[in-house]
Amino acid sequence: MATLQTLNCSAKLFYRRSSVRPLPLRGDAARQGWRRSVTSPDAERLLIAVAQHRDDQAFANLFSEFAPRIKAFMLKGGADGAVAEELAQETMVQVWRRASSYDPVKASASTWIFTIARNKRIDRLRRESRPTLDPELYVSSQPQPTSPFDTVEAHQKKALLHQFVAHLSTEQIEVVEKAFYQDKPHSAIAEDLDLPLGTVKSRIRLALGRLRMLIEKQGMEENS
Amino acid sequence: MIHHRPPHDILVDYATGALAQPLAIAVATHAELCPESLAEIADIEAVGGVMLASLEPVKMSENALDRVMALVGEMDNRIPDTEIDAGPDISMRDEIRKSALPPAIRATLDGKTDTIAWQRRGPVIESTVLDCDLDNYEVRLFRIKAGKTVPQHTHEGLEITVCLTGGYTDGRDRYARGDFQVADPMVNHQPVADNDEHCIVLTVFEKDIRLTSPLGRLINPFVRL
Repeated sequence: MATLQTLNCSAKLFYRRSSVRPLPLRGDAARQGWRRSVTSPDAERLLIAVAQHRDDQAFANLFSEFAPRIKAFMLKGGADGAVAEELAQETMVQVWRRASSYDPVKASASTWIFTIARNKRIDRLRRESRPTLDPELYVSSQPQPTSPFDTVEAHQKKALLHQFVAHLSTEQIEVVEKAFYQDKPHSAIAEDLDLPLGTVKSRIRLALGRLRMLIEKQGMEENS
Repeated sequence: MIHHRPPHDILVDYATGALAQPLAIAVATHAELCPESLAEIADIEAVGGVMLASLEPVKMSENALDRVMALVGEMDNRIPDTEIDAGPDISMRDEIRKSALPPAIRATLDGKTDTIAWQRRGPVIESTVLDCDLDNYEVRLFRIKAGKTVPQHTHEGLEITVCLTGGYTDGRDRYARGDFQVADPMVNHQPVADNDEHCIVLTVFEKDIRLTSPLGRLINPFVRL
């Protein structure tokens, strides 16, 4: 119970801090920021090495790339320093243990690790479990809809998504950050920003749609 | 073919992790039956991957990697030979248990509905309450007799229905296996099951449902008398 209160307090603290924090810069500064933060294109290869050979060195490389970002992710989600550290470690334990279930055709390494970190965050900070999908059981025999992410080539584009985020407006970045970093549903984001729910819905929808459009555009340019 | 899919904001809340667990059960159940929603969720999660990778790193403690390696070493060694056939080690089994869909949903999707402990709720409906993590939500399976009508009711809060077997009609729209219905709080609902088979639906709602018919008050399964 004490822990829960601590968490609540730190969530509030973070909340206050974050509300006065400057939004990410746009333009060159932002682009550099995103570039600095890119995961190496080797992440998939490293993850597969861990899955197939229990490769310690590959894991150490993954760890140095991802653990400090998972820790940042947990801090933004309202964890205090010690809890964020612990959750980052636990997430990396899962990365090691579940590496064999990673499918590079379905997701980039960072996406796969995001889902594990997200579930850890829900489990610990909200005390809820996470129902996961077992799609193989029911949909594997059906044709999949085409998506820019469906092919291996298209999946490579996911790694380049970061370049596009700089094309979003400040307002769009704000809502996307609240959704992904702060674990907030649409309704809470609307309350935070004192905006009608419909505005938040359309803003997030536009932001995600724009990202997707930029990816598709790049895909077409590269194929032509 | 799925005709009714969750609105975009619910899929986003699911993919970011913000959706309350009982509602996430409904989305996960639907998405298992709907490749289109699965793809949409995967797309949103891909943005999450980039958002994670884009964070400014925060220094880990000095011995963090050693601690993680020690933990995984411990876990890898903990499976005695005799237990290998029994599946993954205990902590892993626990994780799988926690992350799986409720067994009654799985049983329904697998066509094993006779294993479910149905409780009669009036002449038309049987139901069973499923566990969830939040007290202010209720997660239930309902089995509606073929051709029968569910008592009329409206909703205070959000109510989501996922059709698992058979089909039903609510107002103008028909819902079949995999379809996802978000109930509009302003509208009276009176779902009618298809004539040819029993209809099983998963329903998740925030408690506090307002009844509109006196008969409903007696037999409406949503009410705890």
